[in-house]
Amino acid sequence: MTALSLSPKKAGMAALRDYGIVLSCIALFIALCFASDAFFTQTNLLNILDQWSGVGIAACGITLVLIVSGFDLSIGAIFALGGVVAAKLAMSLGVAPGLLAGCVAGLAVGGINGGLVTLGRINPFIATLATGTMVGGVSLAISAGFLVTVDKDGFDVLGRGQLLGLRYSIWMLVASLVITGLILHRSRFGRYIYAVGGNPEAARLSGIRVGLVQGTTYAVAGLTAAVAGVIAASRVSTGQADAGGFNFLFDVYSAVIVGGTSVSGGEGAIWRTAVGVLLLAMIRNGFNLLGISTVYQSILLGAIILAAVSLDVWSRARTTAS
Amino acid sequence: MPVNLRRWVFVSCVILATTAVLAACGGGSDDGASTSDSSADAPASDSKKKVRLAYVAAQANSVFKSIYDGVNEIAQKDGAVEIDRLDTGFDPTKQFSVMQDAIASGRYDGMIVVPLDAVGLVPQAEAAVAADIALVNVNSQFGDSFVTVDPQVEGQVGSVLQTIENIGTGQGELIIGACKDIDPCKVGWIAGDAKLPFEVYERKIREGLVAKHDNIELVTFLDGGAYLTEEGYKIAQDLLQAHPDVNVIATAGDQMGRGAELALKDIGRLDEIKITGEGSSKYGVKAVRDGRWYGTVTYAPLETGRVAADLAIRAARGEKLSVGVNPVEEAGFPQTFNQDNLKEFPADFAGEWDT
Repeated sequence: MTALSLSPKKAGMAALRDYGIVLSCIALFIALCFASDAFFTQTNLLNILDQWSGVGIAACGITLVLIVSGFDLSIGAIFALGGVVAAKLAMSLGVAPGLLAGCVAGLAVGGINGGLVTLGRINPFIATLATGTMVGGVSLAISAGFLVTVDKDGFDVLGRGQLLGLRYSIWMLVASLVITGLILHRSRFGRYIYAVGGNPEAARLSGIRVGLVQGTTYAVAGLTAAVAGVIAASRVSTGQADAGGFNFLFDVYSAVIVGGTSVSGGEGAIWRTAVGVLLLAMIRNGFNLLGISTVYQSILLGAIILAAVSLDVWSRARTTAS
Repeated sequence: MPVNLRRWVFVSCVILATTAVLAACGGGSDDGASTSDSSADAPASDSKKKVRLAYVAAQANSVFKSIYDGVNEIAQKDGAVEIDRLDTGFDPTKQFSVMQDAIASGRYDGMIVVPLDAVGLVPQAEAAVAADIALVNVNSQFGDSFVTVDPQVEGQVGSVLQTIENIGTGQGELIIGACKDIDPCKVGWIAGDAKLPFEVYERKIREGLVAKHDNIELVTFLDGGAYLTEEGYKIAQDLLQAHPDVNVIATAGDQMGRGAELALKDIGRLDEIKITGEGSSKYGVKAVRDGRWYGTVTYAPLETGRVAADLAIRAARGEKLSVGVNPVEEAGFPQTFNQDNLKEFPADFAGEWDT
């Protein structure tokens, strides 16, 4: 049923449900423009995109995992692994192979996660919590507790270089959004993802290879988390075993869920994730520009996230009821 | 489908294993990844009691790794000391359990701990003493006093640290020095984690000192540096947007100082704005010597580890000790390393840890 066939009130509610997060984002953008002279400047806006590119890239992968009704707690550890492997191998094998190896390591861990969840039938929370812990140990073992500093020319290009005035990290964020968006919304595989997340049994009976679809989303999530870690390592020419962690996990999931992708599976969109990342990025940027006390930052951040999600849940409930 | 999936998982495992092996072998110059080091290859002297130490700390941290290197150096020289590295991450609750298990295991004659919760871990410190374990705290203390280097738990063998008061004073002195001859001098602060008790106390000391100087204006205090260059870089970008007229970016760690330097480089203002750090890392010391930073609070993690190991080993062999040592004073270094006191440090002073 489309909005055209609904009464004006119901159509408005449906629109609020679909685009409430966009309105929240626009309202915050306007508020920050008035609150801080430094906000609406080219440099600041590009800084925001650069700073949040890693979270955005990883959020693309997690969006697929959530839509397919999965969950991945290992991405913080994979972020660190990607950076450590890239830095370590860049020193011995060269910059390009090192960067590539960092990404491949994440893809491999994601593949293992997918296998554990689908073949092993292990609860995704437990499986990815366990692999995340193991991957953290692997990063620590590879780095021996040291920071892995890279002094080879070219290693920092990915994180600090520019093309047409935009950092490569921003281009990679755009590419991630476009690619995962096309996969999700314009391909048969994307339809399978929604089908599996909505009703796995029905999907199985329809001939969809449910395990393969689920497993692939974990692999993509591993890859995107590692790409984010590789960019971060490149930016500061250092791989670090304690990078990422809970803060990265929190930011990625906050962005995806605030955007409106359902943790119950079957619903969500990449554009929603993009908006969620922007919203979170503006909140954090606003805190810093306005110098809001750290005492109140956590309270405000939690309240804003709760309000955004509550609005989403409320509007969905109203739409369903009507 | 199952066959395809199994093949795919197998390939993933092979790729990961290959990458890990390559990475572990790559680079080559670091020491091994083992969490248990031993000097067993050196012949144990019959006159020495064999000693087993536990080093209880977050292992994925450069400063704590350097402290461990100091401990290991003494153990290697001794020839009859084994060390187990027990990882606690930055989780005080986990550290409580790790200490509890280590004490219960009965394996250890000595324990060197980087306490993450000065007060909450006191019961475990007391339990270690009661179990006749030679206990030494490093980097921070067991107990509620931030102004003494002396052991605060009865029966404890040693305490090796700079007090929080020392460090807060060093931070304040760096800001005052960087602002010398600048009036007004606008300062932005980048914290590591402003909620941590030691940062709260350091802030009180630092801002108390700075308040006595009318030319200095603390224009912003930003949290979230997380002792990471990457996070320091992002926060410095925001700081520079909100306060482009800032004269000094002061940080709670050389990692964030390095991040601030990258942000200033991006906009071509490295020559205009002074940077201060904390920790006298290799990077920070070089940045000060090269004139890119004003200064950094001095740390001596290697010396910390050496002193702590010496105390723990001697006590484990029967000496009665209760010693408090400031490792920076012990090494003969001033509290800060800055543009105005370079000559007070040895020419080969280069820092002891990587940012």
